[in-house]
Amino acid sequence: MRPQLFRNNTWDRRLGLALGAAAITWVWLVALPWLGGRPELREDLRWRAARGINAGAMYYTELEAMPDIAAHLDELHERHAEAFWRVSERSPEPPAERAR
Amino acid sequence: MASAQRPEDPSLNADDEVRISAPKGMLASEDWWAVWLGGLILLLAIAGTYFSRPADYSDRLAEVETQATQVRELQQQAEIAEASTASESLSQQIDDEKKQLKTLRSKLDANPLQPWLALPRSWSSNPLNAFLRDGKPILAGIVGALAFSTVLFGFGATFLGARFAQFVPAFIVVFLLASLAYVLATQEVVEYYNLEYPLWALLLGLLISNTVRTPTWLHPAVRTEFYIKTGLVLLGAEVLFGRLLSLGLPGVFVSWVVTPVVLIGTYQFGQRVLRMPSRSLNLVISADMSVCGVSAAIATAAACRAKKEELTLAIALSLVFTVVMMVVMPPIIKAVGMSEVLGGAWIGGTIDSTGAVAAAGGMLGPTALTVAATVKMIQNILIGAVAFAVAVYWVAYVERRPGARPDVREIWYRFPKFVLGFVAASILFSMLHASGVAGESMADAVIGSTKTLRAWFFCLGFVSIGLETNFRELSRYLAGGKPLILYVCGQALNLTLTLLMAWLMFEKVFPHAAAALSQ
Repeated sequence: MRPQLFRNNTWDRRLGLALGAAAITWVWLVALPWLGGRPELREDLRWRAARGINAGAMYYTELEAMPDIAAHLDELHERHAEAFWRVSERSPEPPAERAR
Repeated sequence: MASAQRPEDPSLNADDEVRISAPKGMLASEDWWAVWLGGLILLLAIAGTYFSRPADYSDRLAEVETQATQVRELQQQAEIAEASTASESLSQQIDDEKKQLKTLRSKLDANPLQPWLALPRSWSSNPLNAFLRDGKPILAGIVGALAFSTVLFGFGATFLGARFAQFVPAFIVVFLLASLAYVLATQEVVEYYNLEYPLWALLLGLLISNTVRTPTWLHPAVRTEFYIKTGLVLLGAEVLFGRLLSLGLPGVFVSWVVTPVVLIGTYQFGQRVLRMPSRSLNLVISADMSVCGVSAAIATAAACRAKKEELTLAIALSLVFTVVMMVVMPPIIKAVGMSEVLGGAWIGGTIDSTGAVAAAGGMLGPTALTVAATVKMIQNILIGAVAFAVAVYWVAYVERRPGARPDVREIWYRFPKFVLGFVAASILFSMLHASGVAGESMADAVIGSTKTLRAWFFCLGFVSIGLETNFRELSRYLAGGKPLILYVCGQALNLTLTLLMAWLMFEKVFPHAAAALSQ
């Protein structure tokens, strides 16, 4: 007995599925690898990977860079707690001045 | 007609058993089963992590605490020696000690489930590389996720009336489609443009349902609500309220004041000005645009009983605008000479998805990356409050009988119960995370594996939506272009208010916070 997927479908429906599958295959196995091979994109990909930036992250727990960012912020809070909680009465020195 | 929709199940929360007596309802409703299964997974992960702690756990914990104290002392010394030449070698020493602390922390707790759960990885030209991590195969993790999900959902589906023997083969096919969707999403160019897996899961499902139609033998495993609600209970464990204060008061104002204002403002605009034909579509678009994209859309759609087509449309809009904003915003910010802190806060508060926020923030610099990712993280945490508020608003005001007063019993009957599991998981894990080094380490270890399952469950949910959706139905919701107008107008309001609030907070009221972040 033929599976239901093919038994109850006309040729045009099956052709639609085959064309869709072929399009996906061509895009993912030919077009996207070609695009990904371009030097400027490769450079960007390397740059992001080095910084733990995975652009596919949907939620903050999926972002590779997040634990380091959270640790950095914890440290900033320990050293400059007032800066984040108290309304400032005077302007801060610009970072360049402070570095000098 | 090429429709695979089940007419008796039109919404994301078609729970007809709302009036079943409490004990029976707790075993006969999909909402409660999502809570039980999500809770069981979290309990298993906690128990597994706890009982696999090494014999010298207390020594390791003491070592972490000593190391943390040492890092703090060195930092204090560095502040005193800031102007002297000794500071450079001291900062090198601090970096080394921090790395050591990170290593010690990572060895504190390990979740025994983690090696048995995996997601496809990034690949460039050979899709088989999606099943490798550092050259080693992760197939055991994929098969483990399949086995774990089959048993859990098979058990739940059997209680909900399905036959286990019919459910299992259908579920395996839906899981294979979800795996394929994940492989499509992890191609590096697709990832680069932040085109997340829900889009490809929907595409694959739609391709089948709109060509050869979804075969009836697949229907027992096409359970959108079940997968999404169970995933949302697991997502609750990642909503850690301690993270809310990561940027102090400026972060709270940018994320937790502007976001609800934009959400309510956009919703009211949709109702009163655009006269959106569907309140739930209006609310899901308003939430995904103002809060954090796909994850907010999923949570809000489930809380307000949105139709599957409405969730699909909202997610498609969000993904398209995320790509555009991720590419366009950094050059504009650079061109106008905005500071990294302000630019980062603007990006974090307006671009929908976390990954795109990090990518755009990173283009401006490390400070912008820190601020942008943190503002987005604070918004991510808002999901819990938004889902709860939407669920209460929906049952108390939108769904009440005309002229009737909101009645507590009626609200309870109609309240989407999975939201309780979501909120409970969030409270439990927030407390665990805030309880000290041991609690934080355990929460991180548990979330490390449950987030993998959560991603699988959402992906299964989106494949199911695709398998149940008819393209013609979907195009009906686009009529008149109102959803697009709503998104564009809402995002314009979001961009304006977020920039205004970020400027006020980081440049005028808390400039010292901006200075500290810029160091």
